[in-house]
Order: sequence, then C-alpha cells, then structure tokens
Amino acid sequence: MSIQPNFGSAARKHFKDAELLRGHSRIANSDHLSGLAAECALKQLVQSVFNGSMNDSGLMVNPETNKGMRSHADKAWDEVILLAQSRNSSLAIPVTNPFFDWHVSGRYGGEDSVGEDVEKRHFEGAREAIKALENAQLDWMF
Amino acid sequence: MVDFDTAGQTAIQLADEFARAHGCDITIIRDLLGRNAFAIEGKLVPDKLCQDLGEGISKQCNPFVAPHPVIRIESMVAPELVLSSPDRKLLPEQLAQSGRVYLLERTAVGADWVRRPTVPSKTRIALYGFKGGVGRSTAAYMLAREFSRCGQVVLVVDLDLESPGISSLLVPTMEFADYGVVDHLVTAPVDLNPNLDIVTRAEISSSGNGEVWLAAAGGRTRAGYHYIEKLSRIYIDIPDSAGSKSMTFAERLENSIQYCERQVSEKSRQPDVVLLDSRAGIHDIAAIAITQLSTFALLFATDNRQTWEGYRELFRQWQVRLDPQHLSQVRERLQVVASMVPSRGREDYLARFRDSAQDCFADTLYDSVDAADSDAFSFSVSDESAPHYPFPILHSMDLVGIESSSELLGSDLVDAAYSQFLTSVLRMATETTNQ
Repeated sequence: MSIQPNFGSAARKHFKDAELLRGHSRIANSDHLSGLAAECALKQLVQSVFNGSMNDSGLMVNPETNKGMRSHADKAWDEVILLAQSRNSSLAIPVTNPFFDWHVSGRYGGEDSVGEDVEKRHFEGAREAIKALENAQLDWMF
Repeated sequence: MVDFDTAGQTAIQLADEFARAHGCDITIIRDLLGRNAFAIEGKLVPDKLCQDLGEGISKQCNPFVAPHPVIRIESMVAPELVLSSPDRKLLPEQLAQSGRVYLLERTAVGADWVRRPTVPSKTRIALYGFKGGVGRSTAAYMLAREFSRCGQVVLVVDLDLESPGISSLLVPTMEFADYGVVDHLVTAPVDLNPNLDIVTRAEISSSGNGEVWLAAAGGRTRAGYHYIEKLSRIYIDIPDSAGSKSMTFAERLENSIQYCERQVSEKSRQPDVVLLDSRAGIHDIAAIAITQLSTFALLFATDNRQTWEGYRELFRQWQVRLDPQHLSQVRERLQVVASMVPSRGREDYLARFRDSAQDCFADTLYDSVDAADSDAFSFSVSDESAPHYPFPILHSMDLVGIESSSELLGSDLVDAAYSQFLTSVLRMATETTNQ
C-alpha cells in the first residue's frame, strides 16, 4: 500500500534527521537525507505554488511542460528554477543548484563516500529549499 | 461571514487573550489573501490549547482565516522568516494589552510604508503628494534652482518611474545621459560593479558655483533602448543567490541613489543636497523615499477631503505599526506643503488648510495633549513650527501647462509664488544639516 504523500512534512522530517546524523558525524547518510529533504520541499512548492498535480504513476507533473518531473533534487532543483522564471514568480530559492553533484545512488556508497564540504553544501541547500517553502507558506498558507 | 477588517480585529483580540492567559508570544500572520493565522512561540503551550485556539479563529474570522490557522514556531526549519522579518511589528498596547502580540503582514506591495525608518547621512529631501497633479515636480525644479543659486551642488533623482516629470523639466530629453535610475536598478543585481552613465548636468542659470545634476528615470531615447521591460522587473526584493546577497527593494533603491551621488562627486564635487521626486499615491517608492531615503519629506496637499483622507489613512498605519521610537523618527521629518493656493481669498484658504492639516495630524501622529508633558509631540493649529503648518505655494496661471525649464525662468510671478516655500525649505535644510 502506498502512502499518501505529504511533501512539506516529509521535507522537515528528512531535514531534522539529517541534522541529528551530522551532529553525530554520520555525514554519508546525513548527505543522503538532505537530498531527499530538498526533493520533498521542491515538490511541495510545485504542488502548492504552481498548481502541480500527481499523475497515475505517482509522479509530480510539471504544470509548464505537462511531463513528469525529474524525480530527485539534483535535477528537480533546476526544473523548479525554470518553472518559477517562466511563471514570473519570485521564489526565494538560490539560482545555483547546490545538489548538482548529489545522486540518489549515493545510498549505495560506503562510509567515506561523501566529503564534509560537499555534505555541508547539501545540508545548507536543503535548508534553503525548506526556507523557500516556508516563505511561500507564509504567503499562501497552504 | 465577517469582513476583512472585523476578522483582523477579532484575530488580534483572540491572540491577545491567549498570550495573556498562557504567557507566550504570538505573531498574527495575515497572508496575501488577507487570511489570518497564529504563529505561537513557546514549547510549553500544550497542543490541545493550540487546537482550541485554531477552532476559535476558524469560527470567528471565517472566511479570512488560514486553512491551518496555528503554526508552532518550533516546528519551522526557518523560524527567522517570522521572528526576524522586517515586516513583523509589535502591536501597541491600545490594540493588544499583553504586549506580546505581533503582526506580520504578507503583502505584495505596501510593506515598505511601515518598515523601520533609516536616516541617510546627507541632506535628502523627498517630495511627495498623495494626489498627483499638484505641482510637485515644478516645485522640485524651483528648489533645485534655488539651492544652486546658493552655491550648492544639487542632485535631483526622478523616482516617479511610472510617469517621469522632473527629468524633462530640467534637461531636454535628447540630452539625457545614456542610462537612468531604472537601468541601475535592473543591472545592480547581476553586476556588482555596473558602469552606467546616469547623471547629467542641467543648464540652469545660476550665479556663483552652484550646480544642478539630474538622474533621470530612464536613459536618452534612442533605437534599441527600452524602458517598460526594465520597469516591470525592478519592484522585487532580491533573494539570496550565489554571488550576491539578498537585498530588499528599499536597499536596492538606496544603492542606486548612492551610485548617482558618487557619479556626481566624480564628475564635479560631492552633492550638498539630493532631491527625490517621488511618485503620488500609496506606492512602495513613495514609502521608501519618505521613511528610508530622506532626511525630511515635503508632503504636498491641496485642501480637499480625498487628500486628507489619504494622508490620515497613511499616518494611521504609521501610528499603529511603528514602535514609538521609529514613529518619532518618521513624524519629525514630515512637513506639509500647501500647493496651488488660490490668489483670491488666500488667507481664508490657508486658514482652512491649517485646520484640516492639524486635524489630520492630531488624529494620528500627534501625542494626545497632556498639559504636564512638555516633551509631547503636539502642536496647536497656529504653531508655525508644526509639521502641519504649511509652506505655501501660490497658484499662478503662468505655471499651467509648463513643459520646459525655459518657460519657468524670468517670471516675477513665478518667483513670487514660490518665494515663501523656497525660503522655508532652505531654512529647514540648513537646520537639518546643523543638527
């Protein structure tokens, strides 16, 4: 049975767990969760700010292209930036994608697969994505 | 169903009762649709109480209530969006006795009217009229000329970006610099060191070594130069992004004005006075010009009901939203100008004008009169030092339909019409500089 997604809440869940892990120097999995947190925040933004909806396969549909969104933070970030620009919306999100080098296959990597600088950039990127989400929530109270 | 205003008042009342009963701070957030929600600080407040509060506001403020009307600040990843927002204001005791209720207005335009004021380092005078067409730009021209006659270097910045006026009064449009204020506003976010020729010298007859410089709204009209495309991109706060820091629209405007001031310094010498010709109405540019960019603001008015109602509403916003210290800073820099005073029955007109102006200020910005308090900011109707006591500009048919500076020169009638206004503003500028 699949779970009804609540992307905003999921974003905070992943982020707070990432925060706990990095507090214990478990940075490889912190890094992984940061990527998932950003992905969820971006999807909630698409759903609530840009009126995106899920298709039958459970994929978020980009309302501009009518195609399923690229699933993970490394690609979804750029897609949301383009969407915001084409809708003339001033999302408070950095234009430069901090997740360009993040990949969901990172979960198969070992203990030393992620450097501290990279993990920090991803963690801060996730915070920026959630901050943009929370900022939009204050505007539209979704 | 309750209306927008009633919902707002009810939300304040509910928040105030809750804050007092449970000893927590509450920020009322009013979203872009005007819907109210409560952001609660305090881990110790039980969830059940928050839930009850949510049900209360949903019932009493419908339809101006958020779908999820209670937010726990602790659950936010970026609580600074609420707690450190420049738009978050502590409500004064007359509205919320607990002293623990804040209001955060999320609005597309207009927030700059109630942001905390700042004080610029040199004499900058904003010219503003709630209603347009009251001779504001012509007065800016006359002021620029008068300051230059006193040997000062004057920079006039045309901030009436939607309908520039002062620019072409000072300099023929074909002689504008290549770029204008909008060009700097649109370039600065993508280029930290823009190289734009914006200021141009106005040929105003002047004895001594005074000079007038103009920063026009746009650049010289020429093939390939576009204006609207830039105008439609400037009214935004710039978020954090790689390579540049976040800037509010007010900071961007300040940055652009400083750029123009530096350019005058490089081409000639440091400007002594900067005149900001701001557009009419409730517009962000006017808000910023009055509360952030200027040392004092000239408020142009004619004695009619719409004008005073407009100013009253504006002042009331300041009265309610600014804390006492910042309210003082704003009200001390205001000065009313009675423009287009009819020559027939002048004294009667001015007496009526003073009554209306004093009413408007007394209802909103003046302290309630208390005989024991000699420091109170309050003035009688005939007090010449009061901000409501107008600097008059007489109406002259010679001024109707003026399109260029040459038409303004050499007319004794024009000089007479502006004489008292010019003397008063110059005195005020001198006093400000000496302080």
